[in-house]
Amino acid sequence: MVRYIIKRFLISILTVWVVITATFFLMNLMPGKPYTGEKAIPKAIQENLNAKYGLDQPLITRYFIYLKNVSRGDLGMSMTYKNREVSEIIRDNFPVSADLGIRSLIFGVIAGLFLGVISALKHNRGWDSFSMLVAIIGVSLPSFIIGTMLQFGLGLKFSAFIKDLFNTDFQLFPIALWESPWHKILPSFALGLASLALVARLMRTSMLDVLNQDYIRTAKSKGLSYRTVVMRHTIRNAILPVVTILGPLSAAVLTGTFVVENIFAIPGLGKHFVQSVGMYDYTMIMGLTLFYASFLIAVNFLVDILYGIIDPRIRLAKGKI
Amino acid sequence: MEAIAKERFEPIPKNIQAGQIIGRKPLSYWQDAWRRLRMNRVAMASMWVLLFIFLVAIIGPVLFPQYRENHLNETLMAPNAKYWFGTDDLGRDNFARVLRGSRISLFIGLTVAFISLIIGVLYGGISGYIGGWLDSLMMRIIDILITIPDMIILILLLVVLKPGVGTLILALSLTSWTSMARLVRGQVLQLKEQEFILAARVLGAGTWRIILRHLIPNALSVIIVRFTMSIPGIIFSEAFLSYIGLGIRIPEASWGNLASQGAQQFPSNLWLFFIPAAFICVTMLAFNLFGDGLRDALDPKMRK
Repeated sequence: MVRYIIKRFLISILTVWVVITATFFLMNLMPGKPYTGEKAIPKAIQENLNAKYGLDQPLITRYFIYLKNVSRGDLGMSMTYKNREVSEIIRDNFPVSADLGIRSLIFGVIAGLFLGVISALKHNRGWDSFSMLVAIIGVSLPSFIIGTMLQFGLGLKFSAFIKDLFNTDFQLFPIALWESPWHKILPSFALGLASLALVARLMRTSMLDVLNQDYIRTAKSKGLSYRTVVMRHTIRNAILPVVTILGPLSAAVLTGTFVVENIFAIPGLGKHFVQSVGMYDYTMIMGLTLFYASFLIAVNFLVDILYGIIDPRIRLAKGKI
Repeated sequence: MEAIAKERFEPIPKNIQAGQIIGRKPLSYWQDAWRRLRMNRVAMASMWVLLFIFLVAIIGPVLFPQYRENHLNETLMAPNAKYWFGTDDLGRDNFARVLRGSRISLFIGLTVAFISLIIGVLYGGISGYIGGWLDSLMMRIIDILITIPDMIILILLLVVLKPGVGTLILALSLTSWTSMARLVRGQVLQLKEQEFILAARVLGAGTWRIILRHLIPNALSVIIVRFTMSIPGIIFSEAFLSYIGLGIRIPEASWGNLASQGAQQFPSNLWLFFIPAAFICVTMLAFNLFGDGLRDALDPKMRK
């Protein structure tokens, strides 16, 4: 187990370094400078700006300076927001994205597990078809489409209908911003639907697989109640593969925040990221890419450890693996 | 013991082969798979839908080529007899744009899936077949690549490179070959230990013969299913990237940038968003359902 953790940790660190290096050199290939606008800037001012942002140094020196700064958590200043540090922007806006992400992940995983379990237990019956229909639709509807559809259907039409019906000003499903819990329903649902679909499909396959195992027949023939067989023997074993996709799921949810935050005008980090890409804000793109990548690498590392803890084949393996 | 009289024996008719004839025509693996696929109604319906969309993408832009023409006095018209899908904010015919978009989106989806297939089969095949330190090295490289989220690699690449169809194909291929490579490696590792490979080697078959005649045909069904299932993901990525402004640029059309353009008009002029969105959803749904059916048809374990 210890070797397993150390090995995973080393791979994670190596990956973070690859990302830092790749980001740095790719950004230096990028066409245009952040301050090349419509107007030509006098040469003296250009040189001053270069000196201010350290762009007059040779590439390799800048690379090492960047590595040193990053290791201290200093991601530099944003080039478009005056006098704001990238790390400050992350600190201010990431909590909103995290809030949205965690809500949709919890919704997706729990509802997905529920649908998956139900459809496996009621295999080839109405519930099964229903759950798999929901799952296949969830896989096939991109978050930006479902987001806009919900905004229109529930946010505009249905909420207006409710307002008329009860003669109030209360907006049931607000279509923008991130304030009351009511604001959070539609974005979380739009973002969580894909996770729901993936988890439901995986859980169903995994449950069906486990239900055909000999030890389930043994458990039944020992006279255990249906409840015990399902809860303690089937679900506990079937849930293992679901844990492994928590990493990819977090990645999908995180990239989903880029569009969902834009659709619902949520002041999160994803919105800033998309904007900084459009404005050639080097330091922001580098800083945010690095931040997102490290965050997901850390999530993957934790998921691997979690998997090691719940899977006895890894937990109990001595030395090997 | 009682002696058996000779008369009790009856001579067998000369024609022994008559009893040995196999009544039904023998089915090859692929014929059998096709038969099973045909029985799956959902998969067949999806197949027809996909064929229809392919047909639209191939001949549509030939019949309606005016996807770039502006008609500045006919902007933002609702669907009508002249413009079946309405017009956009510069008066371009949305019907022609959706047709053009189908061609571009499907072209990107299929090309990227095909490139990933080739890289994946070669990389995974070499890694799995040769094994040893080379395998470890190649797999560590993949481990590192898949730890970095695809969308972040894509966004970085597209920020740096000039936007366009070629760039998008390059960037998407770079991120999507890894899963195929891992799948093929797994298959090769599993197959190469089996007895029929040993038998082939004992009979004197060379490495290439084993790879081409024994390993690839046996892994083919899994590869085909993964190939089919990877296309909706690529179409999704293209739409996503075009939606956030990094993919196909106007006046070129793709489903993603049409949907993005339509969403900017939201909540008025809804058809500009919902028509391309419907094309994206129906295509992804059909690919997913067809892929599921294909997997059931090709996987011998499902055979009852």
